[in-house]
Amino acid sequence: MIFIFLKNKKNLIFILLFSLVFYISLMTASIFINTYYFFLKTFSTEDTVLIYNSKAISPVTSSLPTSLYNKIANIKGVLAVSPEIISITQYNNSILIVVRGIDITLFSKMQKMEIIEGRNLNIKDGYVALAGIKLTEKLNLKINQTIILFSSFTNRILELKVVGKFKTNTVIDQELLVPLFVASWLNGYSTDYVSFFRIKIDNKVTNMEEISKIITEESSANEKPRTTLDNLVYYLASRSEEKPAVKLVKGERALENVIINRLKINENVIIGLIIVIIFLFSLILKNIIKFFFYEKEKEADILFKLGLSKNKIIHTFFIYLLILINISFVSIILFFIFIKDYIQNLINISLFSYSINLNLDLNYFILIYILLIFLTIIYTFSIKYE
Amino acid sequence: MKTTDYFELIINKLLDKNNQTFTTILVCGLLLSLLLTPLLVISSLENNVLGLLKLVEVNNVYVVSQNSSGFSDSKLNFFNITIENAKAILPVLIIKGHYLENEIIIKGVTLDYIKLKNIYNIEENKFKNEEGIFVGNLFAKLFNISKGEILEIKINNDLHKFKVISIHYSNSEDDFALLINLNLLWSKKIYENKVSYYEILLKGNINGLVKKLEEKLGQRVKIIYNDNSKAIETIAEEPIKIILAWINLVYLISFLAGFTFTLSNTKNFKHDIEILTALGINHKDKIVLILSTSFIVAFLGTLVGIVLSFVITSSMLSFISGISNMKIEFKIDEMKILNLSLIYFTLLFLGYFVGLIFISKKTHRLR
Repeated sequence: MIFIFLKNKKNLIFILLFSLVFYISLMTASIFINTYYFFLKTFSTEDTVLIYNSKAISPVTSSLPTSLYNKIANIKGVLAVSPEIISITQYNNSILIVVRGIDITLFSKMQKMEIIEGRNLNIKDGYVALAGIKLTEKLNLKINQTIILFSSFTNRILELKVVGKFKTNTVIDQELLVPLFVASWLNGYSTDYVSFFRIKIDNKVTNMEEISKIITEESSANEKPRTTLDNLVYYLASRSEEKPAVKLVKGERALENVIINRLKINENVIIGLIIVIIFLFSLILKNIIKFFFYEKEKEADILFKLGLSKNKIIHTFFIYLLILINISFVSIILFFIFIKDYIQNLINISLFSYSINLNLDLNYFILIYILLIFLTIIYTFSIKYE
Repeated sequence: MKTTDYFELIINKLLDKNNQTFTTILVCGLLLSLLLTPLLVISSLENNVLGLLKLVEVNNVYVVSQNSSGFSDSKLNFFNITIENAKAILPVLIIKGHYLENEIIIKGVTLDYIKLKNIYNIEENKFKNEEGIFVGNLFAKLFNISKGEILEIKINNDLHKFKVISIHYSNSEDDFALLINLNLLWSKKIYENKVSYYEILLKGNINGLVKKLEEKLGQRVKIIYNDNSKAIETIAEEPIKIILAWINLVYLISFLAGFTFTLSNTKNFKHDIEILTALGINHKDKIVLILSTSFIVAFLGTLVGIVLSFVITSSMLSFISGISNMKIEFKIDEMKILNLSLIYFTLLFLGYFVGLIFISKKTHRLR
């Protein structure tokens, strides 16, 4: 049946036109949604919680004393803590690279990481960096290569040696990992401060509210030091009397404060925006439907002369139209799934050194399908009345 | 046909209610404004807000040998250089060595470097007179090094012994470096009379600096400096990059819009073409007519789009100014707008033109 359908050249043209509208709608939705969620969780990873200074707009612009590590690590239910600093730098004076300052011992307990080539960082490393596998592919970085990084917010320039390539299967694969103090220098921070703490918690034992409460409480005199000689934090943390007010946020919503609370852009705003844009695009759908009915005028005349009522004819052609639309939708979904990677490389949307994935959730496919079918029905009936 | 006849005919056709010209122009304009508005808003915000973050001028530049990839592999001849608009010229020799199997950085520097780079806890007379090394506090902590200790450092496969004179602080990368008097390094026959780079603290601009330095040093050099404002601009360009990726889709839409708007009015256009053919219009005139119609529709659609995006952007910026209590002026990157609009116009024109040709062919008269 479909084969017979496709044998008709005119049907093929309609399928192509409908497919283009669907493709544009799906790609628009994909770019908007993925960019939004990407912005939301930039600089963090899923399944983790970020602790940052509540006075800061975002975790990246926050600063907390490194000495807070002991207090956080002592909380029951906190499984791992990684103090981190994010620095946005320029490579070759043009490409932005996200540099993450870490304590390699604590980071390794927090994040599963595989060294693909070269070696891992060690506690006594200074001017060295580990490059994420995706970053090395993008910039064609080699082991033992010297790179010069230009700080974005200070005048500083640093020369680092790439000692290894790593893989984590997270966004961190698109970053450079350096010792904590190197990121401090790049940002012009004092070395006894970090941007934020990334933690893993056992939800059965504790929760975010409880952790926030404990951090802001007075330190108890018998607080056990949790750092050891193989922790960079041990050397960097100076005794601090500060009790900063902190904010805890889930990794997948790391920039919630900036995007949702300050800019007031939430998921509903994005979906609303997509619907408005798709509605605008769908005016093209209306033109195609109008052309479809024009093309079927002769056939309609014959059917009318054969005694079929106007409603019955419209109904028949509407079913015909729906079949064409469904074939177009299925073909564009297959196209979308099979050559997704190719499209990804072709469009290559990136933010800093991260590439944004163009995956689309099934729910959005369904939403767009329903929206376009609904608009098809409306346009068909508006054409009927015209 | 005279030009005036063409004009009258085209205007009549465009004003014909059945041809939906107004709807086509408005929708195409809306689609273009969808593309231009976010770009205009972001560009205006960028121009207004980023001005506050930009540093006034570049004041630190590094001179390295032209074929080097960075600082450590650069080697320049040492000369006492003076340049009019330089506050200071600091020669630095970077040497990679090994201490307890770890690769370390030793910096041969002058007293001016210690003074001007705000390095604390290095006494002037000790730096000048004592044979020894000054260890950064981070390095000292990590390797558990204290004052007076003798360090055995391997440089170019030779083992050198250095006494630790003091532990210094700088809150910079020098906290992990070992500093040593440049003359002392040279006296140990390590890269004699060579430096890795000159750090120049400038008072003015860097124009003509390379030429002056090459004349004085007698070798080709390059300048490395961190133009912080460029970095901020690059960061601000990031959201625009995402919009630009989406723009390709809007271009496709512009072609489709032009094409399908003509298709949806096939009946009217076909009717018009048939009448014109019956009236004896020749092939050339018919093409000119189609071209002119497409041009006018695409031009008006683009114009409406630009006007609409300007109106929407200025009202959005007033709103943002209102809520942020900051005066945000509407600033336009004319070339970017012109480029995008021109591509949009071309594709819309092509879409409309191809659509009309398609219909015209359907009348089986056009050859």
